[in-house]
Amino acid sequence: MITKSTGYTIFQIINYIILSLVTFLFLFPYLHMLAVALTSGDSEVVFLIPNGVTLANFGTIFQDPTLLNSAFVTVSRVIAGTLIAFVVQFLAAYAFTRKNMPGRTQLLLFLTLPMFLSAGLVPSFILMAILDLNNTFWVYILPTCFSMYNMIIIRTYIEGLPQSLTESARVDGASELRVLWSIVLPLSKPIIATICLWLAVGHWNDWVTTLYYASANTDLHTLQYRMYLSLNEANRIQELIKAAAESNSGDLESLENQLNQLKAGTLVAAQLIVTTLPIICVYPFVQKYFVKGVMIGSVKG
Amino acid sequence: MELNNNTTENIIEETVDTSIESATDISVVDDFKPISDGPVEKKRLHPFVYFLQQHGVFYLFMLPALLAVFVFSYLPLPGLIFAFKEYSMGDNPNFLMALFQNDKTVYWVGLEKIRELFANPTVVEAILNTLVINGLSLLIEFPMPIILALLLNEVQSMWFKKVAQTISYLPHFLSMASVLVIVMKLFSKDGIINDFMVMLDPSYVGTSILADETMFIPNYMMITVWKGVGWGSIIYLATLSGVSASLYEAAAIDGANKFQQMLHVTLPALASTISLLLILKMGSLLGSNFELVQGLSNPANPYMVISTYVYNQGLQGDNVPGATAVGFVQGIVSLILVSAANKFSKWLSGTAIW
Repeated sequence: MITKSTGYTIFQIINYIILSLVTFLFLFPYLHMLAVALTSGDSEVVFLIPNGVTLANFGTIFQDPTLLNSAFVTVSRVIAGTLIAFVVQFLAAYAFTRKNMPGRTQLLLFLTLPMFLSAGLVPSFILMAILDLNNTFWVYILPTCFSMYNMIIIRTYIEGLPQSLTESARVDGASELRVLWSIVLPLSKPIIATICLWLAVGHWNDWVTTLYYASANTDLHTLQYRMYLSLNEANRIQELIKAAAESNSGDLESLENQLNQLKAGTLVAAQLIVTTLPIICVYPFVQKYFVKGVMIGSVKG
Repeated sequence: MELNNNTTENIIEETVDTSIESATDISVVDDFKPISDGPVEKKRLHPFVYFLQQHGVFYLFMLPALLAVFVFSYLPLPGLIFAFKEYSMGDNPNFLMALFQNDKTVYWVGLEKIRELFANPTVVEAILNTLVINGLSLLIEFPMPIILALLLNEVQSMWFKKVAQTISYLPHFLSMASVLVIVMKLFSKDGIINDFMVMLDPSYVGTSILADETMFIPNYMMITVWKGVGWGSIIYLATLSGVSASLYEAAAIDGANKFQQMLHVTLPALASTISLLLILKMGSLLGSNFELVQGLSNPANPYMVISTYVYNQGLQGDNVPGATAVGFVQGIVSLILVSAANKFSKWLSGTAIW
């Protein structure tokens, strides 16, 4: 029996208070941005309640055709990247569940070694340049389509499935493809969900690939990369204003407007909400799949 | 051909698999010699055909992964040659040519580039910065998920625990770029943090916190903790939920109070998980959070670590040899660190990655 002392009760109360505060700290910055995004440009301090809710900021950012293009690129790479990577990883994982294949250990070693030996960024960049993948859509999809970590997780899961099912199907004359399609895949739904969600979130959130390999092609900028660009946006617009002032072009006024709106942060906040809301809305419902993946991964190391 | 072993296994009825038809097309049927002690009606296959039937489709399944790894993990390795060459992208934009070229513009310099690195104050500073950041994050960032897990573990209300956990995952699902946009807004001169400070002390003058050089490391730590603590606690909480309640009861009967129980039951239960994660962390002592440093440093507050140096020199600037050399050295040192940490952990607790 665990007896509850007064000291422990006090600890419990303090614990709840601390955890409530911490939870608030996790939530607050995002809610603050949401409030800013819903506020019209020229109002004072916003804490959590926007003064005068308006969707005007969202209207403004969606007038920008490049934003729609970025959204399209992002969604395309999430779909294509997730599908391709999943097929590659799942097929490999399934193949590696066969214990008696000649050369299995060597092939596994071949796949594992790069986890410890990597050439680094510059050689990768050089390879992309040689393969002519820089500034193409495929640079988002192909280099990351295999992940040893994911493969181990999938393999562990498949190995846990009852062997008798696949064996009996083989005895009944099913081809390997059929066994995979009709027996293994349906039984692997939980792990498929886990891996696909992982891949999708990874693709959605990735911006470094754009920075490294596709920053020169503005048609390929993703929503997240625009977030990174907006970090330096104020500097960029100030430079544009300087250039416009020197050349006396008519853009000056609109640029200054942009800068003012930028300073208020409402447009960036609106972009941030557009960029993150899909994931924020979905993650509470799918997090159990993510957690499951972390578990399997940790057991297997 | 050794057919003596497994002769009976090598015999497969034609009806079993339709793919046999295509397999027999290969002109190995000539080798077919019936062996008297086998069943006469059954057709025997060439070992290679049999091999393909047994395993071929599985090699096919592996092929995309093997290809991807070969192309994107092994093919970059020859690029390391540039760490030992004098080379400028401006003169020779064709990398493939330059790899094999050896003339006036591209020539071997041996270990010269690596020696230059350690004479270059920028590189030395980047290495030191990386070590400082990783050392501090080992002290500050690493224990945080453990503390959070211990606190959450004491919560009795299941719904509170669930809600708190779910919310603590939120920052994990935001990209670093998004997090930095939030940070920029919060920390800017007219951001909420400065407003809050002014509220507390009206004489306070708002500053841009991100431009303050002394604030770079505190900002860095705060962001990594905020982003990773909730997610990092998952693994510890899972371990804790596996600790048998009888251990706590036994400790309580022996007169241990809650704190002593935590010290003698909970923490030992976490020991192997902690040491495993420490190994992984050790291996990346020279690695650095590129996304965060790249996004957090700005013209007013430039901060360089190894990875941002490599990016700025190799991809932004025209110093392919220098950047490759840094990456090369980093890779070697990391490999040594991981294996050393692994050995150490094996010796200490019997837990190891391999």
